[in-house]
Amino acid sequence: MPSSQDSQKGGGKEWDLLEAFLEISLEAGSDFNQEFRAEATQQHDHVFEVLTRLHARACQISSEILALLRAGHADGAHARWRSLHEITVVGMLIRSGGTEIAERYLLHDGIESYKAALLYREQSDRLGYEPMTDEEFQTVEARYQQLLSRFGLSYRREYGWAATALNKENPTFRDLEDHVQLMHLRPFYKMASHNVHANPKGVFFKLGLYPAGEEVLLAGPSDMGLADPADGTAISLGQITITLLMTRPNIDRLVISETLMTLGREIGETFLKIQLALEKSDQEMRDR
Amino acid sequence: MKILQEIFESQIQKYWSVERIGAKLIEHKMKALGVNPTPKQIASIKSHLKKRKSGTVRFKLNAEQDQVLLASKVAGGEPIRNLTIDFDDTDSSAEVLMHEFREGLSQIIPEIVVKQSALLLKRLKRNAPEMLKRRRGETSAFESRLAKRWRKGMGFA
Repeated sequence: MPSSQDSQKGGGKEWDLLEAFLEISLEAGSDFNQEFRAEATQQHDHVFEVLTRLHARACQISSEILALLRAGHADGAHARWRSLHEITVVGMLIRSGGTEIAERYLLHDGIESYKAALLYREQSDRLGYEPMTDEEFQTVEARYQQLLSRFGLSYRREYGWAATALNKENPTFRDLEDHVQLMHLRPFYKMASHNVHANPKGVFFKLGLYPAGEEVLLAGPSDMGLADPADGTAISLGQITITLLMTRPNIDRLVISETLMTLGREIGETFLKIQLALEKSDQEMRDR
Repeated sequence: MKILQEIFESQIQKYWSVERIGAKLIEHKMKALGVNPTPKQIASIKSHLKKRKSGTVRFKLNAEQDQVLLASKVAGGEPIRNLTIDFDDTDSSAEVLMHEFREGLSQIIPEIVVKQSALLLKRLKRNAPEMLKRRRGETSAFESRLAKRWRKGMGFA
């Protein structure tokens, strides 16, 4: 294990801030959903449907991140932040693209179901699972074909639902990020990706290791590296919450949005301060 | 999530009332003719508009206002005896007022948001210990239930 110093250098304030941030975001989303759900259903408001669901998922992921951070799993938390960032990017794109792209996004479930059915049919025997009947498969396939004839061939791609909005045959996540002007978070996204994939960088680079590149195999929790995932969580959860609230702006929701932004900055600064203090004391210990 | 919005809307309604805007428009028109209405006259216009009376608003001009009117001449060279204010669809006074109103709003809203946000943050921080205590209590109760239900699988003691 690397340094085993007290991770409560902020006296617990950092946890309170992050947890309070999550609670405020959760409540704001829940109130918003309750207030407009009936009206949105009646009006077939696809943007509302997508954004409320994405926001709920963002809150759930943030709760996972909080649990991982508390247990000293900075790398795991950062990997979860990667998903949170993806949700935020998709939410912002849906918000800017409006009802058409929102409907395409919702219906894209039919494409994913078809791909999953293909895989299942291929592997069910080997897994010892009950095979999918031809009838079941044909229903899923018919839906898939129906969607392709409505939206075109590019719809079958991973981000095919965004093809028309981005004017790209095969849009990538990078294109989505670029479109919603969150490209500046790409270095963090790439760094977090190392914790998701089994590439060499992920084997050597660990947020929980200090100094970086130290000849230690990190195989458990560490009290280092919490600043990036904590800061990232406050940024991304704030962005998706504000995106949701601003679909129906009023003074109260503007005030909540402004409060989240201020609190988010405070969280980033607090965690960074603790991280730097830990690194400093760790260095002092090494120098002795 | 609409307490502040409701307060804001009621204030706007108060500001944007028929009597207030109507009186402002009339005041605007009178000033364009060189006549400065007194507060009493403005109150009388407001009261008339508040009762939603249609037709003419009548009030006496004071000596100074009379002088202004007598001194002014219409195109034909005759002094103005009666002050008549007409409004039609092409009137730009309402547009000017609307513009002022919008300008005012675009300045006031960010101010309200920043001030209220600072207050909200202060309140949140004050109430945070209680809120977090409740939340952590719920989490702890959940973890106990989880441990009980998954005892065998997870090897909980």
